[in-house]
Amino acid sequence: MSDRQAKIRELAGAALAEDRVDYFIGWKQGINSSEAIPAFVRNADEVDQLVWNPLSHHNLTAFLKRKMPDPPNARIGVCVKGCDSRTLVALLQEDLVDKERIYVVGVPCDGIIDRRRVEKEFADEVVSISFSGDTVTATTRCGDSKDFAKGDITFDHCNTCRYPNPFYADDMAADPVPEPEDRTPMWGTIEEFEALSPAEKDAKLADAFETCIRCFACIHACPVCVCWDQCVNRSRRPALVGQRVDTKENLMFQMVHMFHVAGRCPSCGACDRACPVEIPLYLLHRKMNKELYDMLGFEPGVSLDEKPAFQTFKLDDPFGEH
Amino acid sequence: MKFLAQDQLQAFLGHLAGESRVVAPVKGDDGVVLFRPWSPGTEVELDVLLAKQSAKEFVLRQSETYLRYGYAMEGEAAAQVDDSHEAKVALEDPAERKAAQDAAVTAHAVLVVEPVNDAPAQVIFGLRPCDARGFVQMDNVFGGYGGFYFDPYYNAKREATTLVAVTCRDPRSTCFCTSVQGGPAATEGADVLLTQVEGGFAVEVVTERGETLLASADLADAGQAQVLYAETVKETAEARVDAAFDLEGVREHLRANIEDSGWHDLSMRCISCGTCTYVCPNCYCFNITDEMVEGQGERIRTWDNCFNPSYTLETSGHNPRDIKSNRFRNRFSHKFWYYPEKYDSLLCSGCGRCITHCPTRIDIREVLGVMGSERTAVSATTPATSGGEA
Amino acid sequence: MTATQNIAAGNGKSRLTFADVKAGATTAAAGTLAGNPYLPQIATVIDIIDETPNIKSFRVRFDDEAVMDALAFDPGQVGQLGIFGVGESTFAINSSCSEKRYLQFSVMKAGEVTSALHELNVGDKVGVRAPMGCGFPVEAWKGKNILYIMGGIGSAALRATISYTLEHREDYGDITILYGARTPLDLTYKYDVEDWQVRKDIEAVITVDRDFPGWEGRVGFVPTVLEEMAPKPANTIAITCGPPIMIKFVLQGLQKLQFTDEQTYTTLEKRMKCGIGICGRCNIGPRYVCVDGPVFSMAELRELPDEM
Repeated sequence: MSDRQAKIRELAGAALAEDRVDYFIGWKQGINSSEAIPAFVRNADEVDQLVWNPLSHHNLTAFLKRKMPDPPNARIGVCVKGCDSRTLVALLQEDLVDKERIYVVGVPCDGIIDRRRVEKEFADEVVSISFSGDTVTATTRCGDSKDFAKGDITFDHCNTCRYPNPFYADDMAADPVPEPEDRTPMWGTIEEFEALSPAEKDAKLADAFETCIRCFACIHACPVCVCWDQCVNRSRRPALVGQRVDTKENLMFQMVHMFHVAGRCPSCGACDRACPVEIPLYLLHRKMNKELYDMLGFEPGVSLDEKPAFQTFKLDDPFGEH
Repeated sequence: MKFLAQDQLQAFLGHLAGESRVVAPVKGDDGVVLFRPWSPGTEVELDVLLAKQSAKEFVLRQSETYLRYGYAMEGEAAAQVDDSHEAKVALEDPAERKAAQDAAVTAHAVLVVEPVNDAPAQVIFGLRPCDARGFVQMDNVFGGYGGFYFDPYYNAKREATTLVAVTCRDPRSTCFCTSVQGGPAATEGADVLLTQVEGGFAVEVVTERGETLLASADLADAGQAQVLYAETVKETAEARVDAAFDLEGVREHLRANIEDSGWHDLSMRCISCGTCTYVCPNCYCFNITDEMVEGQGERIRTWDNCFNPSYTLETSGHNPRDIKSNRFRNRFSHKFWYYPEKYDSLLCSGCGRCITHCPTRIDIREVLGVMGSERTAVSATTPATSGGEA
Repeated sequence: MTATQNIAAGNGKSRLTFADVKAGATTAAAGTLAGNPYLPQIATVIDIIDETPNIKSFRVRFDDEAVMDALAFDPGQVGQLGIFGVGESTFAINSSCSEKRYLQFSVMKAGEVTSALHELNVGDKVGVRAPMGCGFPVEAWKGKNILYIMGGIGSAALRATISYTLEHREDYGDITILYGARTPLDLTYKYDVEDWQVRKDIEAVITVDRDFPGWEGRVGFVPTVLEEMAPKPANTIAITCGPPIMIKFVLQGLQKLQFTDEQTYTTLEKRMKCGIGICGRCNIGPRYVCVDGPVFSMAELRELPDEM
């Protein structure tokens, strides 16, 4: 058992035993060891289900946003990775989450693996994933097995991560992991997209958004998409976004989401991972982050004292010259 | 039983495509398998057990125009509209202004309404028995079973569709077809059932429609070895589906547990998206909206789902299923209580897509296990009110 | 057995095909909407009545005379009234079942569709799908006393039923109407109210929530007035419709007065789209308000989850 996992259990157990929270949100094993899922623990004697490993991908701060807590006034304990904490900071910057009602356990992160990439290496179902040092072993239902170097199957946003340690936490599950000295963002695959011609970009976007089924998993999994249950994408008053499911309307729907979370979204990739048809939504948000950084030098969710880029206006803000 | 050799598959599909559209599971560049219209040369993906989505989209479209209408603007009518427009510009609330302008356009002109119902002949090839059964379960709803309404849009497409199912070879740990009266080689709903055997497929005709489909295909009879092989494949697959769980009394228990706090516990990790319903081969609920541009419009129906927080939101602001756990409860109760009460079967064919595609892996089997059985001790874990300050 | 016979036999336990429908098969619920229940009939607005500051009644007549002639409905049934380009909403048919010249719907301005409806003028075209749902069991109520308890626009849902019982006055015992609104301005169907008040063969109690300049009638909330009136439950059917909060207290009041769940009825309003029991929006547990309702007895409602 990793030290971080033990510490998470200890902190969660104490918070529950001392009645500081009504429930604690962490990660636990899913149907089998090949996946981790959100865990909601209500009693101190149930904390042993909590796990921490490179499959703990869910950004649990999504369960803090308006109308998610059950009951609505619950006091909630929650685990955050570095990227998750940036979405939490973004929510706190706008008072969208009540600081007094949450207890935050920060978990320094070494990168999360992209389970879908592993899955595609097999026709059969992956039923077990185990870790040994930097080696990840995946096994299927028929017993086929394959080793991967962890670095080869981590998410793009993990590979380019500059903030592996949580910004905001009441307690930490471990000492911070080493951070890069140069915090200049790396944009990963977005630069490949930018190199395309406008026609190629159109084609790529059309190709990506053609299969969208408008299930709203992206919207609902997004921690900073706070009008989620009142979404303009569904509203008929005003009827701004067409309800027809086609490439153009699908893209429009995602563009609306992208603009609405701009300045809050650190591109944690929760939308991307929730998408059942694997649309690379993360790229849209990453692109918006790059624009914000290039124009304003702004990075979302890195300081409690700051306001999101679109909530402030300075006379010397660049306008339309980019 | 007939035999279709693997190397004849493309020619066979080409033959079918001569008569109608062919839809089949195809792997995209991103490795995602989806049902797509097939064209010659496209490889059909049958190694991956289930396409990401069921094939229901090809009968119950994600969005479908069912009426077109237009307002012709001529002479006096056009002038009246212009006047109305002028008057409405003064309204300050943009939504109100838009509504008023739309109403002005719609109110004063000659109206032409035309129903639309396109239903080209199609063959859905390569779907699994659970997906084929999904159609049967929807058929009751749209076919007026129990004395209700006949839906001409669904049925036009359904009656123009032939289903060629393929026996599952490697059921997944999330498959539970045998618990809901199906199986990896079940034929209900399928017109033809293929079973992968050495060198190709054993072909069984299930319905008259299937008979017609194969009549002109000129397939050889299957040999004794192939017939036996197919039997073995079916038995092996059947054995690989996890032991069936008992659904006896599930309807009564769901009814008895309707206000049980277990719904809150189970729905905690639900994010209230609609993924489970959209990948489901038999969730069929929908929305109807009007889309109009400059007097020409369409009334469309689009998939919608009971997890959508605005689904039941009323104009007054009142929402009967405002709480996430109520919406969550609705889906499972619909499948195993409401639907069975109306249509005398279950609204689930056990494909397990709702489990594998749920962003937080909510497991329908777990939900049924907890809420579909007797709850002796009511869970005391959900406090009615929090200890925190209100 | 063909589907037609099947349905006619009241069994309904099979599904229809296009061939059945072409051969004239219909189902109990579908009636004249058998062919395409989604297709609205075009109708023309022939009269608009300003009932209150935010409620208008629309009298509409189908453009197709044959459809108009064939129209038959039960008191309490509903229809979908809509504008092409905006959408449809469900409203009670509140004209009398014996009215052959038009259908009347009353619309409170609130959302997208209702706001657009309020912009209509006489002569404008609308789309109508009607009748839908189940009406009140007025036949079974023959010989009984009828007590109507309504608030605000809830009167729209009961108006056709009131008309029916008044037109068949000799079939029923005592008829009592308790109707309340926030202010006198919010009372709908003032033309009916005047008639009720002068009739000797019914009792009509009209009340407003609080004092209002010029109002000399009764003042008090509907549930309170009901308690004061203290109607006897013997051989009486109580039917209530109004804002949810009023219904809630009226039902409690009726219970206190010893009305059983079987003698208490209400009619529900839910968000609806298809109106034909499929789209899944209006269900309360296993009951779809659009086809199983909107009329329910209290006994039926008690079986359902708390999703009103």
